[in-house]
Amino acid sequence: MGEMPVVPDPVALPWWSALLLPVLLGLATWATLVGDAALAGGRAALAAPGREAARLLVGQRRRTVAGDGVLGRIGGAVLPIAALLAAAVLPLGERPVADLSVGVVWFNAMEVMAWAAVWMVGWGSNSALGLVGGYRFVAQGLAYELPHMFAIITAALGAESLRLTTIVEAQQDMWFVVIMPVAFVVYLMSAAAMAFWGPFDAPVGPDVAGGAAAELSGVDRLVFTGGRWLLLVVAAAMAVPLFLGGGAGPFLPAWAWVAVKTAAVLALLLWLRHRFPTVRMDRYVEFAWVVLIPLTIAQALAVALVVLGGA
Amino acid sequence: MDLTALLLRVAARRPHVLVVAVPGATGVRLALEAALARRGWPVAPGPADADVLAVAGMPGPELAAVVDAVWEQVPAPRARIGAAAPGDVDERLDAAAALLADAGHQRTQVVSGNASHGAHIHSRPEHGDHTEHGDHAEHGDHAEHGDHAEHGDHAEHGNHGEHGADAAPDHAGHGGGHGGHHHGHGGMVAGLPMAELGPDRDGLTLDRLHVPLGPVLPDWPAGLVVRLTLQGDVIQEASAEVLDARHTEPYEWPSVAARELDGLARFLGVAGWPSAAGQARRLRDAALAGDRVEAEVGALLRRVRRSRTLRWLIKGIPAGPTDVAALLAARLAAIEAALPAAPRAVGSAGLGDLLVGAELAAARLIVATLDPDTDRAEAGTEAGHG
Repeated sequence: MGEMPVVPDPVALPWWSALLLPVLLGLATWATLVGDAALAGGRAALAAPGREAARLLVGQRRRTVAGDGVLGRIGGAVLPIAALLAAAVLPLGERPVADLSVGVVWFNAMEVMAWAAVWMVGWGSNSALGLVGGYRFVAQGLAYELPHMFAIITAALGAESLRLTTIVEAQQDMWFVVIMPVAFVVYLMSAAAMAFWGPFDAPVGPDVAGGAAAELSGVDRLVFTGGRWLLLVVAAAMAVPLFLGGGAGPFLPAWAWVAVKTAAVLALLLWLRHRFPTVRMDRYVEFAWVVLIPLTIAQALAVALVVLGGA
Repeated sequence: MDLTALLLRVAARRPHVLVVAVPGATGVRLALEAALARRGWPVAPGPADADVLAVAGMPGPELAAVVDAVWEQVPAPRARIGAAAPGDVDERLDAAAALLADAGHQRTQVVSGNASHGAHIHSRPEHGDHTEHGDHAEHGDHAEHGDHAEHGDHAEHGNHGEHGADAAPDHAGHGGGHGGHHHGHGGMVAGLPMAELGPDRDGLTLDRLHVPLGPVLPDWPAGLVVRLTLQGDVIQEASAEVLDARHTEPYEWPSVAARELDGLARFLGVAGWPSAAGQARRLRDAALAGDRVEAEVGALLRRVRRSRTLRWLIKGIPAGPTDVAALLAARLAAIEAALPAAPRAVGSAGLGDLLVGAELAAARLIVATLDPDTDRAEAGTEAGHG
């Protein structure tokens, strides 16, 4: 997103930071993978992501008969691209790569691209299990997305702005997690769900032999799973400016606090998978619509009253 | 510097292994799973993610045909091993890792693999470019030229009467099947029939898809194949059979607790709870080794029973006269009492009927919680129609 500010924006980072962003995210993702391997009790957790990447790099790509290879590969590529674009509005310290006035909406739009991506990968393989995985994710999107949107819009409401740097500034006195705990918890759940991670991994579940990813091998699998991990890291990192005060904190510089808080959220997400079995959407959708949506609306209403009262 | 050889060596330290369980050879499967856990090698969910195809036991003719078909779907670099006895497992896995790291072998193997593969091809339009195969192991990204992993060829076998007497077992594939398993009369696409139409439970006319589940599927009973007719993910018809049912010597578990823990581990795997499943598997291996595991088993049972999420997810999924949650409770009680077994369906009798009307995810849970003893299956097929 280096070319983004046509009119130079004083709050955004310089253009070359856009080149740095993938590197930073890659490192964060690598660290997360090592953490996950360690949590899974695997030996040589430090080396595991490297071996996995080498395995997929040298692995043969395969194609299923009458599959739509172009569709599937576009779908796979959309995942990491969407994650990177979503990260453009993420304040790395105090400033993001692109400080859009509609940052929250931008993040939401990029994250929703994952719906299309997973479905395209599942459909493109022309395999029954791949397709089952693909439409499981579409059902999952219908379940998590509305509560998720109410949750992130509550943070925007609290700051009276869709700009992420403004939302961070509004939390100088009190982090939003304190005044909108329901929104924060719902956001955490949807962060796992949008990366089809943890208890929300039915789209790539073992019961359908890998679901949407069932027919992927080699570089195709590397791009798909890498994109998924990037998405998880970006979704976790976005909780920091939305609810956890961004880079605010004593002693350390802002970027270090962002890193520490992101790592904490990621650790929580890794633990979620350890703690809960896969939540099937035929059960979850009812909970999401009957319980979570009213709760998040009530939360938004409460925050709106606070904002109006304070004005 | 040979980068490919270097990457092969790095990757060969942690290959993904697709385990094919042979009915009756449960002991070999247990040894294999324990060896994989010891080495920290992940279990592949399907052929696409596999580097090693490991057959646990000596398959009968029907399962052997399936294994051949699955092998065609494993992308290079790859190695295929078979262990006839529990003692062979470690040696075979070492051999597989050595084979995977051997760049010279992996290069030639792809070529020969393709050549022999040609015999299986009937009339696939995309296939045919046999001249460019040589470099595939070197440049994985070029592999799209009709490489052997561009399977689907066996899918074509599926065109000829799946329910017929001559039904070749190889189209059971890895339990997913590629779009080619349709029984269509509505025309052909790329040599595959289109899906046919049929009325669904709401009176609409929807596509019916014929999908075999098993016998190579994660945490699935050995040798079981359930042929499904799906509309969306709702099962309209189902029939279950056990491959090579007459060839099987039943496995005698040395410990009832270990057998029940094995069933629990597979159920938890299907339910998508890998950490609890791993715990159950470790305790199973400990029980088989003769360790005292009562305290830890108690902790695992408490963990599973306390999970409100799990109960919410499996409550009300009908499995015969009872539901999946009740069956799980009975299984947990059986482990606790180390009593002879929860009531279990012998073989696959009536399994098809239980699955009709269920969704695919629920069907997987039903099979996992019933855990049919495929070692003692009678030959034959029971069909269920909805």
